[in-house]
Amino acid sequence: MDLVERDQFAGQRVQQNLLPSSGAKIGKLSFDYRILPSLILSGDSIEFVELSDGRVVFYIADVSGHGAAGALVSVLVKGICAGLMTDIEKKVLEHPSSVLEALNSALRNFDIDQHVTMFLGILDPKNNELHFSNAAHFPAPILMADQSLDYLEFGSLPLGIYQSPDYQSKSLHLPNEYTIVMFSDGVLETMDQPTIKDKEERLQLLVKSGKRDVDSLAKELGIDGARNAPDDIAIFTITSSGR
Amino acid sequence: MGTILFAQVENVQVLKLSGDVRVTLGPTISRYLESIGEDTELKSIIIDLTEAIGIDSTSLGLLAKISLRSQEFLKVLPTIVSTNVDVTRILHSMGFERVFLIVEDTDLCCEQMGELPTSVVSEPELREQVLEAHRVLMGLNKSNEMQFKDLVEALEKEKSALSGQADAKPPRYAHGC
Repeated sequence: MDLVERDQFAGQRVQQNLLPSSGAKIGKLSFDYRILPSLILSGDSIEFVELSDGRVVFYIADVSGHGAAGALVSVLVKGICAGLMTDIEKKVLEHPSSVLEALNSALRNFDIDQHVTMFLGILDPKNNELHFSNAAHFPAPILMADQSLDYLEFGSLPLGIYQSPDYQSKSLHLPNEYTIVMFSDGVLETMDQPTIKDKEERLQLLVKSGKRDVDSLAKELGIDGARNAPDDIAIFTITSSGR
Repeated sequence: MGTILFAQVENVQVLKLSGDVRVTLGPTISRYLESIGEDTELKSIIIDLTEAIGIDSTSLGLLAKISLRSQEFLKVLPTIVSTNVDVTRILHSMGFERVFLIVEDTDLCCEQMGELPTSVVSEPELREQVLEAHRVLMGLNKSNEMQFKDLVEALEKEKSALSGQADAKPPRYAHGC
């Protein structure tokens, strides 16, 4: 192993240590994820943080490009978000759209070429409310609840480019048991279906057929082994077991 | 591997991105991006993605910046012509319908572009604008080229007959990396 590679793996360990633990539980919620870098470092990242009032802030984010540059920006995003948590807690930033707008302004202060796509949610387990907003994250997260499947928000502008991206927040009342499944767009590149629409339908079908845990999804999608893919891949699930 | 073609017809620039548009084309798109604002006569930008089969996030970011610069210097949204449903889906996933005029149907594009402001220009100006619009459309794809070739030639002939000189400039093309 050469010097640069050793250096990259040292960076990978830092990156992994900065992520929350997969398999973590917060009350009735379980958080599982897998991030597969295309090289060694990843521009894809996820986050979940419990606030003192019991609400949980989570996101899945994809920095444009991949590798070390993407990884550095993903750490910057995490840092900015950590700084915003107090304002979310105090409800100075009450809605996910306000959080995305604050993050967008902060990122624009840095002269970086990358932009970031992010789906950000705030879950309130006390009343089963989900508030969410999307900044161009694709594919749209899937919500499986009461045997029915829905796409959560699709589209809107990415973070870090526009002065006033004007994000929208939406809210949903969830049943006691549900699963939210999030992917980064790298997953689409490993799939064989001819069009993106077919790939999105395939993901939907997998989730509907009961493949809602990260391990089965990774296995079904053939991304559980070693790989050298063109883009980073992230899968992130949140499951509420009821009670 | 993707390619970039560039054409300028009068005050309209057309950037045609074909194939798999990936990070390798980035430096070329970046150089183009920097140039927006240098040509003070430039009126609008058309990005032709009709022959693109894929586009990566880095290239999307650069397109987003082209939109910003177009809004800043030209005061108009640039147009994207996209007929590949996968590419169009990706453009919408990035909210590009808010920062570009996305034309998904080239027939529709022809009609829209034919509707130039006829009431405010003189006849020679109008002829020139129609000619310009069709020259741009010819550059967009092969079927357009066939469709408008005769019309453009006829207009050019008529124009040079009227002005007594053949000053119709052919589009300039430059290859990207």
